[in-house]
Amino acid sequence: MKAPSPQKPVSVLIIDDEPQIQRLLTIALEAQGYAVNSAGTGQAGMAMAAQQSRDLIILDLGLPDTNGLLVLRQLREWTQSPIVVLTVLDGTAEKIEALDSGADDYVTKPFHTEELLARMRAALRRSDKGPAAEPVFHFGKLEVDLAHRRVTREGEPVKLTAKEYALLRLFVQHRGKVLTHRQILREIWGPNHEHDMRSLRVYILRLREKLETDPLASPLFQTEVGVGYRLAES
Amino acid sequence: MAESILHEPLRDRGPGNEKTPGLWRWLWTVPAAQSEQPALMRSGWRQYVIAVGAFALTSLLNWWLQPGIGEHAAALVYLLSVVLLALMVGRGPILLGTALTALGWSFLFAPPAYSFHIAGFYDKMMFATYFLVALIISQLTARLRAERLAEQQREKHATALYLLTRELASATDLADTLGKIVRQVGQTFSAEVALWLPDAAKPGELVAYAASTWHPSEPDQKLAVRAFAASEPTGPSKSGASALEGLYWSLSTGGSPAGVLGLRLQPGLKLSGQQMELADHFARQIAIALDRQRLRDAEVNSKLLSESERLGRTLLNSVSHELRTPLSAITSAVSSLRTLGPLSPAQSNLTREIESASARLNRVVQGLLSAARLQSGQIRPNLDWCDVAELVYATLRNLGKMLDGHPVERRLAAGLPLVKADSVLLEQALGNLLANAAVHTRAGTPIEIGARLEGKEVVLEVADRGRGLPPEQVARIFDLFQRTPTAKPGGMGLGLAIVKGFVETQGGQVRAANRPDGGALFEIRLPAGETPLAPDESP
Repeated sequence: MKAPSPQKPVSVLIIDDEPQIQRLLTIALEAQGYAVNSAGTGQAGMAMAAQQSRDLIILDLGLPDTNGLLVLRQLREWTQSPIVVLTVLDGTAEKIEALDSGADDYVTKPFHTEELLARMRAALRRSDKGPAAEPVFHFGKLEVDLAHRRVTREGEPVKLTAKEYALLRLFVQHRGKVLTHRQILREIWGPNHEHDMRSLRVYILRLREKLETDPLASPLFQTEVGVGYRLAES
Repeated sequence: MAESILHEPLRDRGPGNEKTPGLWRWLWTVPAAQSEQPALMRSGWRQYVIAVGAFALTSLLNWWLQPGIGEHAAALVYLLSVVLLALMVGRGPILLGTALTALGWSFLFAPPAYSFHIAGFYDKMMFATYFLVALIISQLTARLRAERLAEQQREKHATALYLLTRELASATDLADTLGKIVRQVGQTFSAEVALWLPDAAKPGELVAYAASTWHPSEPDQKLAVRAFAASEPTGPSKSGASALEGLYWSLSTGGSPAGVLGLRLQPGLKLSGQQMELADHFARQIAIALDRQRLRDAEVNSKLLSESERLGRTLLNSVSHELRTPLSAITSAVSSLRTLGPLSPAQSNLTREIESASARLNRVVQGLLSAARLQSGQIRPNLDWCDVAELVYATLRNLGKMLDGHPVERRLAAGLPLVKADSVLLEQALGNLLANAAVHTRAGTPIEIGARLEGKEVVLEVADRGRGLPPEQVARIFDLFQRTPTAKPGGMGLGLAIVKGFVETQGGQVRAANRPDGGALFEIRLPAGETPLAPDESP
């Protein structure tokens, strides 16, 4: 559990209409060394975010005054800070929409604070380093070297087709982040194949067969049911 | 309407009376109502005694008066007695009275006295005229009386009908309407009444109205059913089965019959044509009243239904918000405790208890919401290609601690084809089956999850080694709020109903069975897509 350094606390803005959740998160996050502000409405939240830039924003999609997705899109127009959204279990469409609109991650309510903290840390890490800053990715005994286009498993080279490799590279570049089906399809197959789920499932299946050792205990490609996939962090 | 009209049954007036008859016929045919007498004088022979008595009295009077008034005036006195007689007695006695007075006059008063011979032409004329006049006058009087009686009957029928409609209009609900029908019909026809209504549960069948005053025997019931099916009045005469006791009317206003009315008359009585007509009118009025009641009930029901749907949606939204928000707070608060620093073993155990309790509560809320969404038809599956093996792994991971204490055996066939399904709903269905198995079996017993191709279906299977399902429950295990009697307390029987709902909404099927070697087995079957073959590579 790595806390941000005391001299330069990471600033977090919480936009949630529930005072209780605001209070709880403030206590938990301040205990971890974050500097926390909170807003109860989308309008107030946007105003506060505009006043002073934050390192990370936690946004509840179920806001009373405005649509949380709308707040998300407006924030994304001018801020690059990671945004983690809070959503409900049956809000699959909402999750996809949020991720496609620029949310960095989501946490489903009711959530465990550890989970939220982990998601926040991962998002902060990604925003610090930027994509593909590290050319070699390790996961268990798997090694992906983006610079040399080389994939090895237990030291043995793994043969991947061009498409399989492109898909894997996309995941490695965004490791730890949920990629929606649409985002993946658009990136690898092109905008005209946004809905070609069959191809996506088949390629993920084949990458799993070639790369995963234990799909249950330590999956490389974590299934976010109905939403997309997330590449495990090393 | 305490008094019955049945005691004065009416017969149709003969066709000869409707048209203008020949004179002779007119003279000899006496209107039907003539024979209807007040109870006092009903029996025939008494009327003849009255006719003879009237003749005897008049003769005595004439005997006394004759020296003063002469034989012609005596004929007038006889005529007067015939007219009075016509007001009281029937056809035969009137004719007898007419004949007796004519003959009596000719014998007693027309010269020569004490002989039927009439000497003078004038007296002969007198005799003939007397006979004719007496006949005509008695006829006219009788007709007047008959019409008055008929008028009274019509009025009684009209009153009965009016009272029935008034009663029915004032009825507040179906039970009241039925009660009033039985009472009114019973009084009007002084008969016992049976009512049948369509069975709400079984279309095309009848249920006897419990408060009927007559509960017919089996063959009569059959006849009622026939009347119901035929939508027209039937009765023993029509069915040809004279052993049956009742008459039946189908209560129909043109659409499907609203029921059947049965009457059992007092022994020996029959309904006249007019009374049959009245009964038909009654049946129609009752049918209208029942139809109106049915419409009113339907309206009230639909209002209630839309009201309850609105309430359901409101409840759904508020449950979703009001329960989940504090649940979120509890979950995140208790998990925050752990992030704040090391807890003592006791504190750690307590937080685990709170966490597992709130997780359980969360499942209950989620189950209720899913069931409510299913019931109100709000679930719209989002079908797309899914890899069932991937889904099985994701489900197992997401269940997390739920399956602790149960070794999970996986039997996933290699190379399974993709299926077209809603991955979110399918994951929840699978999760419910697994959680169900974990809850209903002892810790330590294994849970098996399998996926295989069977013909053109992908079969997902969750099996346990618990006590299995009670055989009589197997067929209904997926019904809402169905719990096995042996189930542990807790749980509401929502889980399996949600499984069924979620699977069926995406075109799949569910099945439950007991395994031959012990334990329960649940299956989800989905139509298989194509086998995932390598699509052509293009760099």
